[in-house]
Amino acid sequence: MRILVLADDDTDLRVAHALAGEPGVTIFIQGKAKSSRYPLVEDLAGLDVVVGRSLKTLDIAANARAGAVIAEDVDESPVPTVAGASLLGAALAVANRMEAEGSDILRVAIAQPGGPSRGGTGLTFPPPVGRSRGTVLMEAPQRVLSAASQAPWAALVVESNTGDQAVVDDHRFVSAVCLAAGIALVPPAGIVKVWDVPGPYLAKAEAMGMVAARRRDS
Amino acid sequence: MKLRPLIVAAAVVAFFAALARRRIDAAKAADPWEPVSYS
Repeated sequence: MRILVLADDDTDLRVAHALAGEPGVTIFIQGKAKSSRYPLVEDLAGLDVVVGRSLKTLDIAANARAGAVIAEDVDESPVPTVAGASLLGAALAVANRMEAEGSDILRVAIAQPGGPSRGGTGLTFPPPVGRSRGTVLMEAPQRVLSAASQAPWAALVVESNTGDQAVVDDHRFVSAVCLAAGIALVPPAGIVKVWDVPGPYLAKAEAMGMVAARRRDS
Repeated sequence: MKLRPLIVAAAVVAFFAALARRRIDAAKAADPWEPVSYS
């Protein structure tokens, strides 16, 4: 599989690192990031998938006649697309997985550097993120709150009636893994959102290094 | 025999060891997270 990673910074290069560990994969990059490990793409022909955080990924994938994996959530795409491959998408995937196992989800929360810092709702993430204040990001299909965390950490927590599940890690690493893990879901046509296929998505993220934890309801 | 300094030193060591144990127990109680697998 020939994958183009749109790489403008260190986080994007981490996406390339995560994907390079997959069997039978050749990585190319395009963007401002410098790497001696991955060649710059010279010809879009022959690519299978384009991976990137922004919506321009879809345009490049369309030009390459390839599939796309993006962090943004989209409802329309000219190419087969995996959407929502992000910290938020992973949080919703964890929530959907817990719900499928019989839990009632109470609240989903994410925290990352640069997130909203003056929210009105108190949140508690596992250490070292700890307490933060979040703002409501969405009410449906799950109530999701977003908060700021101290660099370099990012976190997600899903609270349920049977206990909570969480991920805490370096924000660049966890963002990269959340995006790269979307490669497991590239459809033959249409759009797949990562939270709609939580099992294979979270298993791939875990294989790429994401570590989750749970806290049983006492 | 100068036992008193030894007894005082042993008591100080025991005190700080107990304090360290209490802090470790408190940290464990405050962080009850355990790994979960998705694969």
